[in-house]
Amino acid sequence: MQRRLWLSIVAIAAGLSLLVAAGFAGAAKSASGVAGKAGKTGGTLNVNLSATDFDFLDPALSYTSWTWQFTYLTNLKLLNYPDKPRPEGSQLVAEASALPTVSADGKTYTFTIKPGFKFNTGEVVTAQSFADAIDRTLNPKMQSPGAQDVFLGAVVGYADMVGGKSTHLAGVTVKGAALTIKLATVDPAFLSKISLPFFAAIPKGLPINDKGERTPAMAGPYYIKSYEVGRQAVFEKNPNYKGGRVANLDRIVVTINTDLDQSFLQVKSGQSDYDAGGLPPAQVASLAPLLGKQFFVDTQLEVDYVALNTSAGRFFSDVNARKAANNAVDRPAMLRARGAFAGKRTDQQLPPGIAGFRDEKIYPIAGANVEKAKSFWNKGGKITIYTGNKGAALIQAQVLQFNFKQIGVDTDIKQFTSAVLYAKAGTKGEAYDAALVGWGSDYPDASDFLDVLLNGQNIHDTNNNNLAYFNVPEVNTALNKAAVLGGDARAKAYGNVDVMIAAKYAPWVAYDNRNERSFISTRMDPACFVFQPIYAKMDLAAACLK
Amino acid sequence: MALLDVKDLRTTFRTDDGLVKAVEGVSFSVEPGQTLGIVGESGSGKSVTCLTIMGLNDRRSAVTTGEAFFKGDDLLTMPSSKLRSIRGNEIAMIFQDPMTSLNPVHTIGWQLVEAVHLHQDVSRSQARASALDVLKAVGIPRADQRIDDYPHQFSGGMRQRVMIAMALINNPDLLLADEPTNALDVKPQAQILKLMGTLQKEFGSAIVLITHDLGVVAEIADDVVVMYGAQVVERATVNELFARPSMPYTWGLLGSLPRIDHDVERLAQIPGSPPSLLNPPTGCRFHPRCKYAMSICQSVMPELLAAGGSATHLSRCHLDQATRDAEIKKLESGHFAEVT
Amino acid sequence: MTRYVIRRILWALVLFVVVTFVSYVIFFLIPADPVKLFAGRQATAEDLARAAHYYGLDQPFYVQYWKFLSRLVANGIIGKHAMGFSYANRQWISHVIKDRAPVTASLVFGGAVFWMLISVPIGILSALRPRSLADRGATIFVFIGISAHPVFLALIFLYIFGYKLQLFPIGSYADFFNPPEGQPGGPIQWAWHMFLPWCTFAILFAALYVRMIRASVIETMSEDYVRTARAKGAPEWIVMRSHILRNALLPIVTMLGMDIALGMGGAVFTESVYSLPGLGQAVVQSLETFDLPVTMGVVVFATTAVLIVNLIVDILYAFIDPRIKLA
Repeated sequence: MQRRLWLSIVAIAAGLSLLVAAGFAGAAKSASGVAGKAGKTGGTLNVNLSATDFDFLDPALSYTSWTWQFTYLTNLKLLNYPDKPRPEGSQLVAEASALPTVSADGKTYTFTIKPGFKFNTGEVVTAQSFADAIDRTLNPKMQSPGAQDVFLGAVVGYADMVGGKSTHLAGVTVKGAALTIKLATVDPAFLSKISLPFFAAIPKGLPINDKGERTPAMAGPYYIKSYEVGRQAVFEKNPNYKGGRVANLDRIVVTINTDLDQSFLQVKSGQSDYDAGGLPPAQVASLAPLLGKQFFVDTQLEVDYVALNTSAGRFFSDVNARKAANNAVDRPAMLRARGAFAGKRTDQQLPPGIAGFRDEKIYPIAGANVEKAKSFWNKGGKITIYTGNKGAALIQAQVLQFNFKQIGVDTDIKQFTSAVLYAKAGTKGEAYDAALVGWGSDYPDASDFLDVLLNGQNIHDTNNNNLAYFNVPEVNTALNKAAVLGGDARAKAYGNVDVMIAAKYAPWVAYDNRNERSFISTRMDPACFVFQPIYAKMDLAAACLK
Repeated sequence: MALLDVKDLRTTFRTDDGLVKAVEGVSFSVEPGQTLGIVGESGSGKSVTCLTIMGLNDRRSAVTTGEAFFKGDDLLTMPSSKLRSIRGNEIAMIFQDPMTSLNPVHTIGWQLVEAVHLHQDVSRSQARASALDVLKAVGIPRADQRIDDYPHQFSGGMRQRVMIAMALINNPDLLLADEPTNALDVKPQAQILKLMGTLQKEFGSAIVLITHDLGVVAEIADDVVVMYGAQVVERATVNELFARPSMPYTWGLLGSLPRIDHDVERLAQIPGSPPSLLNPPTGCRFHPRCKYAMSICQSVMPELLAAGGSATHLSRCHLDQATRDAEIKKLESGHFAEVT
Repeated sequence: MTRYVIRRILWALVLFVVVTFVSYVIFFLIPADPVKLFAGRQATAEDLARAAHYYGLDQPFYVQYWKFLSRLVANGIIGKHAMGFSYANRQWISHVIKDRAPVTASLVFGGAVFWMLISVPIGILSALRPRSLADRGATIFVFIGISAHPVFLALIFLYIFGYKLQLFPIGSYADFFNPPEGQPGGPIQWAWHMFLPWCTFAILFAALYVRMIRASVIETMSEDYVRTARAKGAPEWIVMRSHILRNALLPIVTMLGMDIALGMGGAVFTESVYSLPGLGQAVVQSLETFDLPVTMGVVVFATTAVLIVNLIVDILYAFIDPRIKLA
């Protein structure tokens, strides 16, 4: 399975100044700020994790959506997303720290650690616990993906740290309960980034080890009781946790690497309660009658699209061909290929719900408009499409073939394992015209869609995320401007760029935003079901048994 | 009372092509301590006769009628447990191919000891001791060392000695030897025959010796049965047969014996090939190959009747006595001096 | 004998180098870059270069292959660091193998016992009574066993015996020793959890073996030494046990050695469907994530295991068939 990095979204919505204000005002209510719904407490939840294992339970290394659903149970962060559905669930609130104060130039953040938090070992959480986490994640001997420039690259001393010249990030200082972080350049998305799981509190002296610690002591509402790689993990309530988050269940036992179909039968029969690895696509339709009782459908902040290769000399370097494609592709058919309740059709880059998203009716999402498509392109041609070689991609490839045929364009479909698909399409100069791909962001901000995927200044020789090789000065400038804005201005600016890109340049045929589909056993109380929008999964801390 | 008295034995095999009558009305008897030779070409039914008596035909495909009294009990109708207690004990058998007749995965000692244990309630060491004795008796050199060797470690002649040892180990009253020297070179052939003769005196067993070689019969048999096309065509004491062979097939067999005073070219086989048992010729089975054949031979099967005036001498032929006598004279002139 | 073993081991080494080298080449021909797994998918060129350098992934493949071999030799093939660590979750490969090999061994060897237990009696029965009802029934079984895909069978077994009748657990594994906390374990749970996987895994081979054993027994029954045994007065069961089976099963033993090795490949399907945390499952996942060290680790382990099993079978064969001399 490809590393399906999840999507978070949101929320720097509040923006810099607002957050600062909220920091003062919100301190009093922050005790209940993170709390979720209280249900029946106690009991053991049996969870399957089909077709995969956790990557790491070590917070410095974990980088997959399915693991973050569980580290959300164990991590104690400076700020966190509450155990609540949208919209509250996607708003950062105070957790271990009060909301930070920010200097006038926007470069210095000061967090004040609240007393009373302890690791499951009894060790007290201090400001140093967070400073240690930052230093450990950025230490080259950890080789953590959390050390990517895009996350804390703006903090003073970053280059020395990742270059191995220092073992302490110079911009981070601890004084009593205060944790101060100094940025070299303004980063309006900083609070979202510092709230990534990579920077959760760690106990003193947690070894620097690029293989990761298997069961590090944790300070969240749960801790890692045991973890046998490839077999099972057990999470138990942290007896020392005195924070405001809910923790209804006593234990969560995760059976790893189950089979999707077999696991579905187990949940149906009550042998297991929930599969964190997903559902067999063919079975989803049969769950419709259980909607709201055992079956829940929620929107992820993710986009699936056909990247149109705009490189010079390729078929889609002509904007009219791209607009024709946007009219010709049958979006309902593309979505149907993913099974029932799979998602919501779209024609824009940003998922709805991300701050700044503005729904404009740009292209037909009710079905193909062949006539309109032909009005943009009637010169025929031949294109090469790269797709995955599993599941829905097989059907979607046929849909695309048919749709392009209708406007007189022949297609040559090439299918790859997803790792190969992304590696090939990510290599500049690769001879393809369209690629069937998707993206969910690492941290909740419009920039983690638009800048990463469509800013022409981010195109490299290999490992590109801009698979349309879209490089338009007007867009690059607009994106760079939006990136330094905060608050409403930021949201509005990104929203405008989003619409401009789709309407004027059409580098993608965006076709859906996926749903997370959760199926729970009859042992579980549906009243406790909470979809955590940032982690885009069922909230296990809020879950409870009947 | 005869030790073995076979009467009108008939064995038919069901095959995919039809019924094969492999033995048709064979009768003979063997007295204690005597040797009976059964002679005939391959496919004449002599081996099947022996296997039928031993009850070793494939039970699913073979149908047997007739009687085979051993010490007064009919081997063909007795319960299989009774038959098993006789097999390898009172009646033992030696097969023609010593290379394949021993089990390759067991030592010869094991196989001999198994034979003892199947019929005698003795200890392992006693069984092993008698195995060693019998191996020495059949002339295996260094028998005490070779007893733990596997069959593939022995030569063909040595293996046949082992087979004989295995047959004799329970002191049988009757030994059925199915072409025991067929697969061997000339030298071990002679040794084995000599050995059998010696052992017969020592152990006092009667022997039924199946062979296609009248020379062998002449050496050790008391009585002879000549078979052709699943039937007995001549039966006599060895002296009667060689003195007055009374039908053309027997003459042919005698004519194919090697002779010191004639060159090799004369050693011609009987022309033609043995009859198909699936579809046997009408009349006399031998008539297609018989240079004396008359028209009656093609339509009427001759009876097995007394020949040459002796009660023990029977033959199956339409030829009149005068023709037979003339032929016998011709044969005598060149042949019998050296055989008898 | 010693010479034979030495020659086999030398041959094994050659084979081993070829297999691992080819795997390496194939992996490097596939344009999937493991560096992203370390550096993160939003990594800049600098981020990627740092990670690649740290893990030596920036070196040409033959250098990497050479390092792989020397590490293997330096640490001894069973050393903790001998085969490096997974790109995906950075587990030491030695741990991956140690955790997973017992599961695959349970499946393959248990399955082999199963298929022998099924095929020997059925094969003998149908050889004893050719064209009887039992023989025809066995033929149908053979037909089904050979044509049914293990995944298909597994899903049917799971649905009927696991979900509908609830006689067996729906997939999952129970350890023979030291189960994870709170999980079932011990011999009985182990066998209970493995029962359906064994059936699934064994059925193809059981079918093939019924056919082979039937043919081999029928052939052996017409051997002269079997007639000799009967002529000795041996009852049928002794004839069957000491004379027919000993010989008829000889070729089966060699086949068994090869098929157990082959079965490790087939175990992939069974392990996936029944969620057994074995080597096959690890390989499938490592191929999907292009986690070369795990793939290589399992290849190295499986190659070694196959060679050892074959060596044992050869020696065993020489032991049970006195005609064979190892040279």
